[in-house]
Amino acid sequence: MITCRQLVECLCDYVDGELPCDRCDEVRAHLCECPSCHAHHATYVLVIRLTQLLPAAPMPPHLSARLQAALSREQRPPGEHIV
Amino acid sequence: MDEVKRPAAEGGTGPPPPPTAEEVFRDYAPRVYNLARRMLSSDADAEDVTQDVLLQVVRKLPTFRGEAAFPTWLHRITVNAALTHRRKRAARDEHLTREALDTVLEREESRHEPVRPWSVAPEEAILDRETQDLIERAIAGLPEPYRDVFVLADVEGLPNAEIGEMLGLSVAAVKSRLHRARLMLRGALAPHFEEVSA
Repeated sequence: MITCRQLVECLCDYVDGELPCDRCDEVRAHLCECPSCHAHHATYVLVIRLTQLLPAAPMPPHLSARLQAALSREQRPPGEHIV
Repeated sequence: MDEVKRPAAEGGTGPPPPPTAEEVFRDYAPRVYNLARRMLSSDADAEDVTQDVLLQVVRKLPTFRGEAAFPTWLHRITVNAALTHRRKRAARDEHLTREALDTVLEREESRHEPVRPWSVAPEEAILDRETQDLIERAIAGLPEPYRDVFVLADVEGLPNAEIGEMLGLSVAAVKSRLHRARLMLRGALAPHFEEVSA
Protein backbone atom coordinates (compact mmCIF):
# COMPACT_ATOMS: atom_id res chain seq x y z
CA MET A 1 0.00 0.00 0.00
CA ILE A 2 1.26 3.49 -0.78
CA THR A 3 2.25 5.79 2.06
CA CYS A 4 0.54 9.04 2.99
CA ARG A 5 3.43 11.01 1.54
CA GLN A 6 3.28 9.10 -1.74
CA LEU A 7 -0.43 9.78 -1.91
CA VAL A 8 0.09 13.51 -1.56
CA GLU A 9 2.77 13.42 -4.25
CA CYS A 10 0.45 11.86 -6.82
CA LEU A 11 -2.69 13.76 -5.80
CA CYS A 12 -2.45 16.23 -8.70
CA ASP A 13 -2.30 13.48 -11.33
CA TYR A 14 -5.04 11.53 -9.57
CA VAL A 15 -7.41 14.47 -9.37
CA ASP A 16 -6.70 15.54 -12.95
CA GLY A 17 -7.30 12.00 -14.25
CA GLU A 18 -3.71 11.52 -15.38
CA LEU A 19 -2.65 8.70 -13.06
CA PRO A 20 -2.25 5.15 -14.47
CA CYS A 21 -5.11 2.79 -13.57
CA ASP A 22 -3.11 0.53 -11.28
CA ARG A 23 -1.84 3.52 -9.34
CA CYS A 24 -5.41 4.88 -9.09
CA ASP A 25 -6.47 1.61 -7.46
CA GLU A 26 -3.72 2.04 -4.88
CA VAL A 27 -4.80 5.60 -4.20
CA ARG A 28 -8.45 4.61 -3.80
CA ALA A 29 -7.53 1.77 -1.44
CA HIS A 30 -5.44 4.15 0.67
CA LEU A 31 -8.21 6.77 0.76
CA CYS A 32 -10.67 4.15 2.03
CA GLU A 33 -8.43 3.22 4.91
CA CYS A 34 -6.86 6.54 5.91
CA PRO A 35 -9.27 9.21 7.25
CA SER A 36 -6.58 11.88 7.21
CA CYS A 37 -5.70 11.32 3.55
CA HIS A 38 -9.41 11.07 2.76
CA ALA A 39 -9.86 14.55 4.25
CA HIS A 40 -6.74 15.81 2.50
CA HIS A 41 -8.00 14.60 -0.87
CA ALA A 42 -11.48 16.02 -0.27
CA THR A 43 -10.15 19.43 0.71
CA TYR A 44 -7.63 19.47 -2.17
CA VAL A 45 -10.52 18.92 -4.57
CA LEU A 46 -12.57 21.51 -2.73
CA VAL A 47 -9.86 24.13 -3.24
CA ILE A 48 -10.12 23.60 -7.00
CA ARG A 49 -13.91 23.64 -6.94
CA LEU A 50 -14.13 26.77 -4.82
CA THR A 51 -11.71 28.54 -7.12
CA GLN A 52 -13.83 27.68 -10.14
CA LEU A 53 -16.83 29.22 -8.40
CA LEU A 54 -15.17 32.59 -7.87
CA PRO A 55 -17.10 35.27 -9.73
CA ALA A 56 -15.33 37.65 -12.07
CA ALA A 57 -14.55 41.02 -10.55
CA PRO A 58 -16.64 43.81 -12.06
CA MET A 59 -14.78 46.34 -14.18
CA PRO A 60 -14.32 49.60 -12.26
CA PRO A 61 -16.41 52.37 -13.90
CA HIS A 62 -13.37 54.62 -14.27
CA LEU A 63 -11.58 51.86 -16.20
CA SER A 64 -14.44 51.54 -18.66
CA ALA A 65 -14.27 55.29 -19.29
CA ARG A 66 -10.49 55.17 -19.62
CA LEU A 67 -10.69 52.33 -22.15
CA GLN A 68 -13.34 54.10 -24.16
CA ALA A 69 -11.11 57.18 -24.34
CA ALA A 70 -8.13 55.05 -25.38
CA LEU A 71 -10.15 53.43 -28.16
CA SER A 72 -11.34 56.83 -29.39
CA ARG A 73 -7.74 58.09 -29.52
CA GLU A 74 -6.69 54.93 -31.33
CA GLN A 75 -9.37 55.32 -33.97
CA ARG A 76 -8.71 59.02 -34.60
CA PRO A 77 -7.38 59.55 -38.14
CA PRO A 78 -3.63 60.25 -38.32
CA GLY A 79 -2.79 63.93 -38.10
CA GLU A 80 -5.94 64.86 -36.25
CA HIS A 81 -5.15 66.67 -33.03
CA ILE A 82 -7.31 67.95 -30.27
CA VAL A 83 -6.84 71.70 -29.88
CA MET B 1 -7.61 53.51 -37.60
CA ASP B 2 -9.22 51.85 -40.56
CA GLU B 3 -12.20 49.74 -39.84
CA VAL B 4 -11.26 46.10 -39.51
CA LYS B 5 -12.18 44.13 -42.62
CA ARG B 6 -14.08 41.03 -41.64
CA PRO B 7 -14.05 38.02 -43.93
CA ALA B 8 -17.29 37.53 -45.77
CA ALA B 9 -19.46 34.82 -44.27
CA GLU B 10 -19.52 32.02 -46.79
CA GLY B 11 -21.47 29.50 -44.84
CA GLY B 12 -18.46 27.21 -44.55
CA THR B 13 -16.91 25.64 -41.50
CA GLY B 14 -13.94 27.99 -41.25
CA PRO B 15 -13.06 29.92 -38.12
CA PRO B 16 -15.46 32.69 -37.12
CA PRO B 17 -14.38 36.20 -38.09
CA PRO B 18 -12.47 38.15 -35.45
CA PRO B 19 -14.38 40.74 -33.47
CA THR B 20 -14.29 44.41 -34.37
CA ALA B 21 -12.28 46.89 -32.30
CA GLU B 22 -15.45 48.01 -30.55
CA GLU B 23 -16.38 44.41 -29.76
CA VAL B 24 -12.91 43.73 -28.39
CA PHE B 25 -13.20 46.64 -25.98
CA ARG B 26 -16.80 45.94 -25.03
CA ASP B 27 -16.84 42.14 -24.79
CA TYR B 28 -13.31 41.13 -23.84
CA ALA B 29 -12.16 43.87 -21.47
CA PRO B 30 -13.62 42.17 -18.34
CA ARG B 31 -11.91 38.89 -19.20
CA VAL B 32 -8.54 40.58 -19.75
CA TYR B 33 -8.95 42.67 -16.60
CA ASN B 34 -9.75 39.67 -14.41
CA LEU B 35 -6.86 37.56 -15.67
CA ALA B 36 -4.40 40.44 -15.29
CA ARG B 37 -5.77 41.29 -11.85
CA ARG B 38 -5.26 37.77 -10.56
CA MET B 39 -1.82 37.40 -12.10
CA LEU B 40 -0.60 40.77 -10.83
CA SER B 41 -2.58 41.00 -7.56
CA SER B 42 -3.01 44.70 -8.16
CA ASP B 43 -6.03 46.59 -9.45
CA ALA B 44 -3.94 49.51 -10.74
CA ASP B 45 -1.47 47.27 -12.57
CA ALA B 46 -4.35 45.23 -14.01
CA GLU B 47 -5.94 48.41 -15.37
CA ASP B 48 -2.70 49.42 -17.11
CA VAL B 49 -2.28 45.95 -18.57
CA THR B 50 -5.90 45.80 -19.71
CA GLN B 51 -5.54 49.01 -21.70
CA ASP B 52 -2.20 47.89 -23.12
CA VAL B 53 -3.57 44.49 -24.16
CA LEU B 54 -6.73 45.82 -25.78
CA LEU B 55 -4.77 48.37 -27.80
CA GLN B 56 -2.27 45.70 -28.85
CA VAL B 57 -5.11 43.42 -29.92
CA VAL B 58 -6.88 46.12 -31.89
CA ARG B 59 -3.64 47.03 -33.70
CA LYS B 60 -2.97 43.37 -34.51
CA LEU B 61 -6.54 42.50 -35.54
CA PRO B 62 -5.87 42.98 -39.26
CA THR B 63 -3.14 40.32 -39.06
CA PHE B 64 -5.18 37.86 -37.00
CA ARG B 65 -5.59 34.84 -39.25
CA GLY B 66 -7.60 32.62 -36.97
CA GLU B 67 -5.06 29.79 -36.64
CA ALA B 68 -5.88 29.90 -32.95
CA ALA B 69 -9.28 30.72 -31.48
CA PHE B 70 -9.59 34.41 -30.69
CA PRO B 71 -9.87 33.87 -26.89
CA THR B 72 -6.68 31.74 -26.96
CA TRP B 73 -4.86 34.50 -28.83
CA LEU B 74 -6.17 37.04 -26.34
CA HIS B 75 -5.00 34.88 -23.41
CA ARG B 76 -1.50 34.71 -24.84
CA ILE B 77 -1.26 38.45 -25.32
CA THR B 78 -2.62 39.08 -21.82
CA VAL B 79 -0.23 36.65 -20.16
CA ASN B 80 2.74 38.12 -22.04
CA ALA B 81 1.69 41.65 -21.14
CA ALA B 82 1.24 40.74 -17.48
CA LEU B 83 4.64 39.07 -17.33
CA THR B 84 6.30 42.03 -19.05
CA HIS B 85 4.56 44.44 -16.69
CA ARG B 86 5.72 42.43 -13.73
CA ARG B 87 9.32 42.36 -14.94
CA LYS B 88 9.27 46.14 -15.26
CA ARG B 89 7.77 46.45 -11.83
CA ALA B 90 10.52 44.10 -10.56
CA ALA B 91 10.14 42.00 -7.49
CA ARG B 92 9.01 44.90 -5.35
CA ASP B 93 6.91 42.81 -3.03
CA GLU B 94 7.47 39.20 -2.27
CA HIS B 95 4.27 37.78 -0.78
CA LEU B 96 5.90 34.89 0.98
CA THR B 97 9.53 34.56 1.89
CA ARG B 98 11.34 31.50 0.64
CA GLU B 99 11.49 30.24 4.18
CA ALA B 100 7.76 30.65 4.71
CA LEU B 101 7.02 28.86 1.44
CA ASP B 102 9.26 25.96 2.34
CA THR B 103 7.50 25.69 5.68
CA VAL B 104 4.07 25.59 4.06
CA LEU B 105 5.11 22.99 1.51
CA GLU B 106 6.89 20.85 4.06
CA ARG B 107 3.80 20.88 6.24
CA GLU B 108 1.51 20.05 3.34
CA GLU B 109 3.69 17.43 1.72
CA SER B 110 4.79 15.55 4.81
CA ARG B 111 1.70 16.06 6.95
CA HIS B 112 2.73 15.06 10.42
CA GLU B 113 -0.69 15.94 11.82
CA PRO B 114 -4.04 14.44 10.84
CA VAL B 115 -6.06 16.47 8.35
CA ARG B 116 -9.55 17.50 9.39
CA PRO B 117 -12.49 17.86 6.98
CA TRP B 118 -13.73 21.34 6.10
CA SER B 119 -17.07 22.73 7.06
CA VAL B 120 -17.52 24.65 3.80
CA ALA B 121 -19.58 23.41 0.88
CA PRO B 122 -19.23 24.84 -2.64
CA GLU B 123 -22.93 25.55 -2.84
CA GLU B 124 -22.66 27.78 0.22
CA ALA B 125 -19.43 29.41 -0.81
CA ILE B 126 -20.79 30.91 -4.00
CA LEU B 127 -23.23 32.95 -1.93
CA ASP B 128 -20.74 33.95 0.68
CA ARG B 129 -18.82 37.14 -0.08
CA GLU B 130 -16.51 36.67 2.88
CA THR B 131 -15.42 33.28 1.58
CA GLN B 132 -14.82 34.70 -1.89
CA ASP B 133 -12.57 37.41 -0.44
CA LEU B 134 -10.74 34.83 1.62
CA ILE B 135 -9.96 32.70 -1.42
CA GLU B 136 -8.98 35.72 -3.55
CA ARG B 137 -6.56 36.83 -0.83
CA ALA B 138 -5.12 33.34 -0.58
CA ILE B 139 -4.54 33.26 -4.35
CA ALA B 140 -2.98 36.72 -4.23
CA GLY B 141 -0.68 35.46 -1.48
CA LEU B 142 0.80 32.71 -3.65
CA PRO B 143 4.34 33.35 -4.90
CA GLU B 144 4.16 34.56 -8.50
CA PRO B 145 5.50 31.48 -10.34
CA TYR B 146 2.91 29.32 -8.59
CA ARG B 147 0.12 31.86 -8.87
CA ASP B 148 0.58 32.20 -12.64
CA VAL B 149 0.18 28.48 -13.20
CA PHE B 150 -2.70 28.16 -10.74
CA VAL B 151 -4.66 31.06 -12.23
CA LEU B 152 -4.19 29.83 -15.79
CA ALA B 153 -5.01 26.20 -14.94
CA ASP B 154 -7.66 26.24 -12.24
CA VAL B 155 -9.23 29.67 -12.70
CA GLU B 156 -8.98 30.07 -16.49
CA GLY B 157 -9.18 26.34 -17.21
CA LEU B 158 -6.35 26.23 -19.77
CA PRO B 159 -4.64 22.91 -20.61
CA ASN B 160 -1.22 22.31 -19.06
CA ALA B 161 0.49 22.13 -22.46
CA GLU B 162 -0.85 25.55 -23.42
CA ILE B 163 0.24 27.03 -20.09
CA GLY B 164 3.70 25.55 -20.61
CA GLU B 165 3.95 27.25 -24.00
CA MET B 166 2.84 30.59 -22.59
CA LEU B 167 5.21 30.52 -19.64
CA GLY B 168 8.13 28.72 -21.26
CA LEU B 169 7.81 25.68 -18.99
CA SER B 170 7.69 21.93 -19.59
CA VAL B 171 4.38 20.20 -18.88
CA ALA B 172 6.05 18.43 -15.95
CA ALA B 173 7.07 21.80 -14.48
CA VAL B 174 3.55 23.15 -14.95
CA LYS B 175 2.07 20.16 -13.12
CA SER B 176 4.60 20.42 -10.33
CA ARG B 177 3.86 24.11 -9.79
CA LEU B 178 0.12 23.54 -10.02
CA HIS B 179 0.27 20.81 -7.39
CA ARG B 180 2.33 22.95 -5.04
CA ALA B 181 0.06 25.94 -5.58
CA ARG B 182 -2.98 23.84 -4.68
CA LEU B 183 -1.21 22.51 -1.60
CA MET B 184 -0.25 26.02 -0.53
CA LEU B 185 -3.82 27.24 -1.01
CA ARG B 186 -5.17 24.27 0.89
CA GLY B 187 -2.78 25.05 3.71
CA ALA B 188 -3.69 28.73 3.70
CA LEU B 189 -7.44 28.08 3.72
CA ALA B 190 -7.49 25.15 6.15
CA PRO B 191 -7.40 27.24 9.34
CA HIS B 192 -10.52 29.10 8.16
CA PHE B 193 -12.53 26.11 6.97
CA GLU B 194 -11.57 23.16 9.18
CA GLU B 195 -14.34 21.66 11.22
CA VAL B 196 -13.97 22.25 14.92
CA SER B 197 -13.27 19.07 16.85
CA ALA B 198 -16.05 17.91 19.14
